[in-house]
Amino acid sequence: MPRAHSIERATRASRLTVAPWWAGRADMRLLGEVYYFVALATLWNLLAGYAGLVSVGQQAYVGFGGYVLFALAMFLGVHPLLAIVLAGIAGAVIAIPVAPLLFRLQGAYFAIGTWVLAEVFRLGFAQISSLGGGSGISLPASAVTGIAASRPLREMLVYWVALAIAIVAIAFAVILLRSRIGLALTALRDSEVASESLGIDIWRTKLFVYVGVAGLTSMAGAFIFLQKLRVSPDAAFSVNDWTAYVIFIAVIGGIGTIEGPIVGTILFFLLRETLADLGTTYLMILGAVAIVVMLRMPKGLWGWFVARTGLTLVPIRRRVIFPAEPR
Amino acid sequence: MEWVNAIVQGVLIGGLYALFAAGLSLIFGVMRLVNIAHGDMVVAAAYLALVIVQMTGLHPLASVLLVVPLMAVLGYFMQRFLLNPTIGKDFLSPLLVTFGISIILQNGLLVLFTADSRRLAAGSIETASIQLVSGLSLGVLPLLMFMASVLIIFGMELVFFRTRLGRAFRATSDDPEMAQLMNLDRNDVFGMAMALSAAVVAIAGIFLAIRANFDPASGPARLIFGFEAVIIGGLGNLWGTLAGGVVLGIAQAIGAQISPGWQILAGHLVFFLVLGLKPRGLFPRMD
Amino acid sequence: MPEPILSLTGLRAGYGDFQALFGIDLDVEPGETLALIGANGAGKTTLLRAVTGLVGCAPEMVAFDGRPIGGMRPDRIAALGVAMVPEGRRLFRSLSVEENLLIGGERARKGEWTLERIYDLFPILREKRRNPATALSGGQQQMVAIGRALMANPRLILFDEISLGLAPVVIRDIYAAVPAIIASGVAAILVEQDVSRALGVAQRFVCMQEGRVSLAGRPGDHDRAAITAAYFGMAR
Repeated sequence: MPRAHSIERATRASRLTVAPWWAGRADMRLLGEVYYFVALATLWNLLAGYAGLVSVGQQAYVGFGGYVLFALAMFLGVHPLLAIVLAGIAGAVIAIPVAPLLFRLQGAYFAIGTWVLAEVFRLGFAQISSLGGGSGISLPASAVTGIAASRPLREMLVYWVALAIAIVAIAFAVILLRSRIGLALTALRDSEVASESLGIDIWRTKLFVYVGVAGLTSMAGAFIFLQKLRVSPDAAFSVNDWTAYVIFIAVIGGIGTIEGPIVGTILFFLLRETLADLGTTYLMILGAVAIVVMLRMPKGLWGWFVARTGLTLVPIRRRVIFPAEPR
Repeated sequence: MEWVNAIVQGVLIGGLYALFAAGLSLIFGVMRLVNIAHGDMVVAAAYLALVIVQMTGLHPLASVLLVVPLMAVLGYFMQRFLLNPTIGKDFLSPLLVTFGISIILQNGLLVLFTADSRRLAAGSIETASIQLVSGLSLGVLPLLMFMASVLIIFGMELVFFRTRLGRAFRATSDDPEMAQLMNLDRNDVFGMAMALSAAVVAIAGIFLAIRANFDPASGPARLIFGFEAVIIGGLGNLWGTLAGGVVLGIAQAIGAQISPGWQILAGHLVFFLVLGLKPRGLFPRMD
Repeated sequence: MPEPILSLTGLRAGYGDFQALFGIDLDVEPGETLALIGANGAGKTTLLRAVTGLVGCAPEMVAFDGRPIGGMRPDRIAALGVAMVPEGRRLFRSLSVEENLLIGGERARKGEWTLERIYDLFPILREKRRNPATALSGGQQQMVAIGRALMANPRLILFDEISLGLAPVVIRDIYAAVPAIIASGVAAILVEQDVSRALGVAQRFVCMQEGRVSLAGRPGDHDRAAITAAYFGMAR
C-alpha cells in the first residue's frame, strides 16, 4: 500500500511541477494561491493541532515577511527570490524573543496574546513612512524585473517558488512529527504533566516549533506580497485573510492531521470558485461551517474519512503493538 | 496641565476597559472559557442600542432597560447551544467556536449595517463638563461612565460572593465534577454566567456607542483592550481588572500625547512590559 | 422482600483503554450499610464513580430503586438521591464551611438533615462556619465533606476512604458520628482500607480484588484469614 501511494503522489507532483506548460496565467496564479494557503494552514495546524499553541495572530509573521521582503528588495536591492528566504530567517529570529513573553500566557489567553503581537506589528509598520506608512507601498518595477528578465519566466519562477514553499511547509511538519520532537509533541498532547515528569523539555519543544513555524510563515508571507506587488499594514496584517480563512481551512479539513489542511484548502477553493460572491457572506458561511464541523465532526473532513476507511496518506503515527497475551 | 488632563481622561476610560474586561473575566473564572467573540458582542450591543433608540426614541442611556435583558437572553442561549457542547473536552474547540462566532458576528453586522462609522447621540450630556481647577475639567459623561463601571464591578462581586448563583459559580469553577454531584446543572450554571457577562457587555456596548465611533470591525480592539486590562490587572480579581483598565487607559493617553499614532501601540507595549516583568499581573489574587 | 435501593449487575467500567471493573454484582438494601473493602487499585473508587455517573457504563448495569441509571448525567443521579463523600474530601476552596454545606443542600430532598442538625452532629463546624473550608484541619474538612453530602438528604450515601490521611484519634471522632447517620435511614456504601473499622459499622461487606468481587457476606461469616486472602488475592 505505501508503494501505491508514493507512485500516486509522484505522478501528481510531476503534473503540478510542469504546470507552467499546461496551465494558463490565471490558473497559475490560482494554484500559487492554493499553495500558499496549504502552507499557512499546515503551519497553523502544526502549531495548534500538535503543539497545542493556538494562535490567532499568525498574520503577524505573514505581514512581517511581506514587509521585510519589500524592505530588502527596495533598500538593499536584494533579489526578490533570495529575499523570500531571508524574510523567513528574519521571521524566525524575531520570534525568538517574542515566544518567551507569549508562553507566559496559557491556552486561549495565549491566542489573544498572539493577536496583540500582530497588532503591535501592524501599528509599528504603519509608523514607518519609508515603507509607505499607513497606506502602504508598491513594489518598484526594478525589483519585479529583478526576478527574471521575461515575464513568462518570472511567472514560472514565482509558481515554482510557491509550490516549493508548500512542499517545504509540509515536509517540515512531516519530518518534525516523525522525529523525536514529534514524539515529544504527541506525549505533550496526551498529558503535559506526565511528559514533564519524563524529562521532556516542554518549553524548548514548544519554542522550537513556534520559531520554526514563524520563520516559514514569514517566508510564505514574503511570497504572498511579492505576488501581490503591494503591501500595506491592513492587508499585511489582516486577521480575516491570514487567520480566519486559514483556521477555517484547518478546522474543516481536520486539525491534527497532515492531510487535513490540504483537504481543507482544496475544499475552500472549490467553494470559492463555485460560490459567486466573495468576502463577507462567504466568510460567514465558512465560519458557520467551521462551527458545525467543530461541534459534529471535531476531526474534520479528513478525520471523518480516516475513521471510515482507515487510510492515511502520510504515515506519521506510531502504533503500539502488544505481544500476544499468554492466557 | 495638558498632561494631567490626558491622564485623567485615561483613568476615566479605564473604567470602560474594565467593563470590557469584567465580562471576559467572569466567563473565564467560571468555565475556563475565553470568548473571542466578546468584543464583537460589545459592538453588537452597540448596534442593538442604535436600533432600539431609532425605533423607540428612547434616550441612549435609557435603552439599557431593553438592551440588557435582550443581550442576557441571547447570551444564555448562545452558551447553551453553541458553547456548552464544546466545553470540557479540550480548550481548542471552544476557542475556535467563539472565533467562528466572532467572524460571523462581524460580517453579519457588516451586511446589516454597512461599514459606515456610527455613533449614538446622547444629547447635551455629551459635552457637559465640570471644571475642577483652571485648565482641568472632567467630562460629565466619562465621569458617569466611570462611576457606573465601579458600581457594576461592585455588583458583580456581590453576586459572586453573596448570592446562591454566585456560590454555584464559585463551586463550578473550583471543581466542576463535584459541583455536578451537588445536583448543579452545569449547563444552566454556564448559561447564567454567560447571561450575566452578556448583560455587562450590553452596558459596555451602550457606553461605547455614546463615547466613540464604532463600526462592525470595532470588536477585536475591544476584546484586546479588555484582555489587556485583565492581564495587566491580574487574573481572578475584578478590582484588579479595574486597576488594569485604568493603567491601560493612562498608557494610551500618554501614548496619544506623544503622537496620535502611538496611542494604542503604547497600550500594547505596556501590556507586553507587564507580561514580561510581572507575568501574574499587578494585583493577582493569591491562589 | 424490599427492592434493593442499589443494584449492580455485571458492572463493567473503565477509563479509556483501561478497564477497571470486570463484572461486579452487588446489592444494597434500603437503610443498609455495606462495607466495600480491597487494596489500592481494586476498583472501589471506580465503582463509586460508576454509581454517581462520573464514569460511564451501560444503563442496565446500575439500577437505583429498580431504575436503570448507568451512564446518566451526574446531576440527574444526584437528584434521585445519591450523594458522595469523595476521596480526598474535595471541598470547594472558594467557599466557606457554611457555603460548602449550603451548596450540598442546593436541591435537597425533604428530610431531617438541615444546617442546624449538621452543626449538632459536628459542633466544631458551627464555630468555624465562616472560615474558608480548606483552612480547616484534615479531620474537620472530612466532617464538612460528610455534612455536605448529608445536606441533600440522600437515600444512598457513598463514603470513599473517609479515614485516609487522618490520625487515629480523629478517625474515631468521625466514626462516632456514623451511627447517627445510619439511624436516619440512609443506605450507605463505606469504602475503606481500614478493614476492622469498616466491618465494625457495616451489616454486610464486599471485598474487591482487581476489578472483581473476591468475597462477600456478613462480618461474622468469615474469619480473618479468609478476608485477608480475599483482600490480597491469595485465594486463587
